[in-house]
Amino acid sequence: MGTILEVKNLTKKFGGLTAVNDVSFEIHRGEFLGLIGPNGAGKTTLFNLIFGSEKPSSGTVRFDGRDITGMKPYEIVNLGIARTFQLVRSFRFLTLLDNISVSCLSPRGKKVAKQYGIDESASSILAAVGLVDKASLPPVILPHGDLRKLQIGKALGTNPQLLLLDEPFSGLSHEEQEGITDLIIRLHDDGVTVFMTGHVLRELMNLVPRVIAMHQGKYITEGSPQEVANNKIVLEAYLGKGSEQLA
Amino acid sequence: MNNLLELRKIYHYYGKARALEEINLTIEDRALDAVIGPNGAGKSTLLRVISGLEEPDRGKIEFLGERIDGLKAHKIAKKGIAHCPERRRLFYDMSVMENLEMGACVLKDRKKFHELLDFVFEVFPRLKERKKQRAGTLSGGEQQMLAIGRAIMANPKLLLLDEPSLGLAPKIKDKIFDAVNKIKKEGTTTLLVEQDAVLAMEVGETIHLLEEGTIEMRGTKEQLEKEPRIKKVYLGI
Repeated sequence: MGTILEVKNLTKKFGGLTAVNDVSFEIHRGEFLGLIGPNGAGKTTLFNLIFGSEKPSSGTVRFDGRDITGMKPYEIVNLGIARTFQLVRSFRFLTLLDNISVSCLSPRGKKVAKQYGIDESASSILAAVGLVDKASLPPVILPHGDLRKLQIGKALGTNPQLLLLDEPFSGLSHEEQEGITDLIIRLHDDGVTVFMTGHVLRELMNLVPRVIAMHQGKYITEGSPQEVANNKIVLEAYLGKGSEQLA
Repeated sequence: MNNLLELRKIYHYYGKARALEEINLTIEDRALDAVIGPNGAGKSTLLRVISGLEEPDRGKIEFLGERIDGLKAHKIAKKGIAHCPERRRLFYDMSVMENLEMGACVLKDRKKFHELLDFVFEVFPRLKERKKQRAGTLSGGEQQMLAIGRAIMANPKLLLLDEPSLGLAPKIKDKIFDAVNKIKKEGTTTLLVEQDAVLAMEVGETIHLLEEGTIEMRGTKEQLEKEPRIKKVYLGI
């Protein structure tokens, strides 16, 4: 297996607030890993630090054996990490196909597209995320679940080894969540390492074999969803002090 | 007992994201109800829809037997619903006293002002000590007291409290919840939204469990305590 990402003593301070506090963990190649924690735990900041959207105050991030701490997001994408955002962002007035094509024009995307052409490459990604019949539509008219799929498609266009998914389920209906779940499982089966957050835990905790829990910027524990859900600190973080009395 | 507030089949969306789905909720006069649920369940939206900060996309809301959905927030405030928002939203550059006066701006009966002020100072003696201090310089717990106090100054029939324990130390949380109890005993119907399920279940007479925009179950503390669903809703398994 081997380690694809190593986070070591990562810390991010915003003024007096330590959003990520001395966090260390590893992601194995091909792994399917979840990151949980109540609101304000530092999940998105941790993603930002890995992805280069924020510079850490201290600590290191190594990807594929290489120190990527403090690199810019585009440099990191070019090394093989892609991410989606909590809030859906797309090129609103381009067609879905063109939305994907844009990321297929990235250096890593182009390597794949060279064999088949950009359109062909983008179409196959649209097919993979289940949007191929909507290729010529603009995102503005799509339901939220489709926009989430588009996000993932745009990330896939850069041909990532490691995919960071920030809250892929939030704001979706049950059916839409199931659609996203199926998609993520397929991507993982295809060999992409997946690291995803969620504060809506129902989907996440039943999906990933291993979970890391954070609370107030700190790493709390990791293990199977069952183990993590029974951790006292995790329970308190989610349900309040004294939560062990609850069934 | 009479129903003070009644929500029927309320739906609300933020753009395309669903926040509330078919919410039915009845609050009886002089009750203290608590809505619990994990982040993103729709708790704050529920309060915002009641106080008119959001207009529900579908459904109907009756307060004292009168439709209020679609009314502007200031109209609803005048009808007797006070909303104490998440993260307090004080007038930080004003003094404690000025914040309380702002709360009282919807009062029809000016004589009521001193009576309410006495009550707020009785519940939160700390606010009396600091009445000339600028709100922005108060501690987190004191700011929360002020936010609740400001809402009380509107002499509401229904008090909506959004996450009063947010970011507070356990001791301060207890103080706030003691105050909530006192306010309830004085006859103010209260609807409390709280992520801290354990605390909310301590004070709430009826507890409503919200999951992804839907009320999954409701009951008393005793009924819900033995319910594995709560942990499941919060932690997914």
